[in-house]
Amino acid sequence: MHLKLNFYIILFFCFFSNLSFSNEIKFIPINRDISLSQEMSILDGESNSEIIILDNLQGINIINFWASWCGPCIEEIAELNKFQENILTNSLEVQLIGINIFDKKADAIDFYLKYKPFFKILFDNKNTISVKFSVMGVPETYFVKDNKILFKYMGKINEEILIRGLKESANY
Amino acid sequence: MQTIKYTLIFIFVIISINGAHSENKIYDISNELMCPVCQGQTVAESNSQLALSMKEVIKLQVSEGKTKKEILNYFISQYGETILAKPPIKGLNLILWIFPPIILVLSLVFWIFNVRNNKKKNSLK
Repeated sequence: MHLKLNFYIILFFCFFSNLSFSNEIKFIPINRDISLSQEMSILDGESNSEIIILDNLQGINIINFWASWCGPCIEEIAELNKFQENILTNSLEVQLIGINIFDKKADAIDFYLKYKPFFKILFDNKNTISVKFSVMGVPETYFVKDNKILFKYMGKINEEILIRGLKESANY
Repeated sequence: MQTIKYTLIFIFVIISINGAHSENKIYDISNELMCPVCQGQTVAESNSQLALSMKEVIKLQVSEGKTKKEILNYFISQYGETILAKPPIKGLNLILWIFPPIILVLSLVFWIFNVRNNKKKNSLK
C-alpha cells in the first residue's frame, strides 16, 4: 500500500518537474498600444548626457530592460551583442534597444564600460518607463511593432529566442 | 511694505497647503495599489524599485491634475484589476466579499448549535 502511494507521489512530482523544466520558449502575449514621450539619456561611455525623446516605435523594436545589479542581465549581454551583429550584417529590419531601469546612472555607466554593449543603450531619467511597459522585473524583453507591444519574454534571453521573437513579430 | 509681507505669507501658506494636499493624494492613491512584485504590500508600504517607479508615475499624474479615478484606471490598464488593493465589488470578485461573512455566520450558527446540543446531552446525563 505504502509502495503504491510512494509511486504515485513520485509520478506526480515527475510530471510537474517535467512541466517546469520544459525547453519551450514562452512569450507572454500583451497586445497593447503604447504611446510614449519619454525623456532618456543615451549611454555612450563618454558624455552619457545626450538626451533623446523615445516616442515613435515604428517598425519592429526589441526593447531589453536591464539593471547593473542583475546577474542574468550580465549573462545575456553577449547574446544581445551577437544579435545586434546579426542585425548589422544581415540588414535586418529591427531596432534593438537596451533600457536601464531600477538603477543609479553611475552604476549603469560602469556596466556599459565594463560589458560594452554595442546596441543603443538608454537610461530612464524619470524612472517611469517601467510602469509604461508594465515591467515586473529585470531582465525583460519586449517585442514592439508599430507602437504596439506584442509580447514579452521574462528572464535571460539568447539569440535563438530573439530570432524567434523577431519572426513572430514580423508575422503579426 | 506691510502688504507685500502679508501677500508673501499668504502665497507661502497656499503653496504649503497645496503641497501637503498633493502628498496626501499621492499617499492615498499609492495605498490603494498593490505592489506587483511584493508579498501583500501596497505601493505606499513598499520600497521596491518597481513601487518607487509607480510612486513617480502617480506623482507625475497628480501634478498633471489627473483625478484619483483616472490614475487608478491607468494602473488597471497597465497591470489589470489585480493591482487594486480593494478588488471592486462586481463579477467574480463578489465571491471575495460575500463568502467571508457567510462563512462567519455559518460558523457561529454551527458553534451555537453544537454548544446547545452539548448542554442538552449533559443535562440528560
